[in-house]
Amino acid sequence: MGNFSYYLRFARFRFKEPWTDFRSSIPAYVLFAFFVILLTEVWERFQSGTSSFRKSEVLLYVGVTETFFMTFLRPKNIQTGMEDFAIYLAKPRSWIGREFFGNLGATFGTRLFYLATLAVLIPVLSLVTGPFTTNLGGFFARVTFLLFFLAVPQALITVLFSSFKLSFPQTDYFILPFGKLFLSFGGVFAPLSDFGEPLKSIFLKLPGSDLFFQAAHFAVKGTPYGMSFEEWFLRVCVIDLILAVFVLLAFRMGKRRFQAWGG
Amino acid sequence: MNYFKHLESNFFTAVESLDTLGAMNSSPTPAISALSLTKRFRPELPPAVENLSFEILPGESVAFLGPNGAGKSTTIKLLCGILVPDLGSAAILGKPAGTPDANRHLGLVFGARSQLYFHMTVRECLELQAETYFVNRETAKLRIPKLAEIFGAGPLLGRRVRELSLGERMRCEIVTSLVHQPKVILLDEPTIGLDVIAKLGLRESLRTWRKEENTTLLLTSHDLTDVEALCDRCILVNHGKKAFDGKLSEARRAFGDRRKIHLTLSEPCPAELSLPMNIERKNSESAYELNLEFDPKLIPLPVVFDWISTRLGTKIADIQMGQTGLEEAIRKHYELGAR
Repeated sequence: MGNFSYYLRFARFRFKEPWTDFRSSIPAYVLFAFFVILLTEVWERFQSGTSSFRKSEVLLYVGVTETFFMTFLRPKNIQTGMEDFAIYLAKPRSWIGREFFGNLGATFGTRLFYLATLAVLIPVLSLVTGPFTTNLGGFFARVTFLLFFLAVPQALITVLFSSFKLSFPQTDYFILPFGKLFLSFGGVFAPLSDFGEPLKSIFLKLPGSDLFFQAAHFAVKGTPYGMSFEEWFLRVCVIDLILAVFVLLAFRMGKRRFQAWGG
Repeated sequence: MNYFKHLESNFFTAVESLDTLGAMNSSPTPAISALSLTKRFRPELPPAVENLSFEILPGESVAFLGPNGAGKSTTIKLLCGILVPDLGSAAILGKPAGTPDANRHLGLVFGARSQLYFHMTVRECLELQAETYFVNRETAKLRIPKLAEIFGAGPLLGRRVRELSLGERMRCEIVTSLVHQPKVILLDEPTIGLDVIAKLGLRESLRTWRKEENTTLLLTSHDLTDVEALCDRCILVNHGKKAFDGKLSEARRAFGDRRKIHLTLSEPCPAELSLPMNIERKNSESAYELNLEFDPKLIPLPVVFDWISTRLGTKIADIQMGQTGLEEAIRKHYELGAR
């Protein structure tokens, strides 16, 4: 229990990170607002009104997925985790526990900030899209739940990459393409449900769909696409479990290599 | 007959072992012990650390010295469990190095690696560090201001780490590493990048802390003024092996306890000056200065003074005498080792 309270404290510690240096993050939030508007307009043009999402819904969808996009696999978090690895071998606490909770806090904190930006933007955006048909109260409640729920796989993926980087410094070159492809196939730029076949069926089967598209669909429409909430919830839990096993394996491999070769 | 001889030999070996064991039991458990530590990173390279053994008793303050690549940092990493030795073992207060039991008693300061979080206040970082080492919150709240006071970090507690200067940050780093009252502190280049005043302040605070807590200290630093200010003993490593282990004064003697004489002259000193054997002329800034260096064991002082007074007597405007520092002595030792 003492351990858990320590790691939670560390999560709170990292949660505060984006809130203590708001000024330097302003460009990112402005860019975020710009992307939300731009991607909404682009998708509307592509679909010429045939989308299963109304314009205001696309805007909320893009708002949610862009929040994920801006906070997914941040190189800074991966680097911090890797740098702290050695020193935590000399401390009486677990590196994995600390990194997991730290990333959980950091991801949650940053995503909350983007969400707050979206909330501030909504009255302005309604001038472009017309009145929002989605119940905004329900939308923000669902997104808040998602922030907790999806911070777990996000934290696990970050720890996984930090562990990989211990063994293979070349991991850096892999992070960017992996992150972008994972997000694109996960429907970050537009709803997967609007894609044509066979891409739609293929992308819907990939884990990115569960972590981004289904999550955003659930936030906007109140239910995941083509499956029940329980089924989607279970699928994300299975992804978490698989990621946790990979984290342990990668950590052991990283530790062995680090201790044998000196990092 | 041979059988009985073998039995007799075994008996005496066993008695000797029991004696050693008895002696070991009566002596205090070393704060740090390394036994035949060996670490090789690649088979084709020589070992980074080879058969290194030493013991540091509780309360001792020891400098761990060596040129770049000598194996200092590797040894420190082996002692705190960051690396695992290929052969040999290390222990902190009798507990195997790298285990949580050993790590709880360790305080770590890496001059090149911050343990603070730049977005948080110093106080928050210290409280988190205390919790990392299982110090309860009440104890931490009492201990932090006291420690901060000793290290002159009291006024910094409420400031964010990112707002601190390097000197201020180093003081906070050291407070961070002491917040759980470790019995053993490993300091790796703690004054790197600091100006003279900041260095002096930090050393003074560390001395005060050591006096109060009787903490064991193992310091690696390329700045030998740190070593002279904080340590009584030094272990010198080169090419991964122990080259010397003893008191600092012994190190000076072992590596050349030389004297320096600086003469200021009223007339320019001749470029060619025939010096007696065993006196060396060193570079000087102007023609009106003469720097001499010698080993008093090889040439007695009266002989040196006699030569100075005979050759330069009336030309001498001023004379200063000193001893070569530890830095010079050790540099010479490295140079000899490199040849």
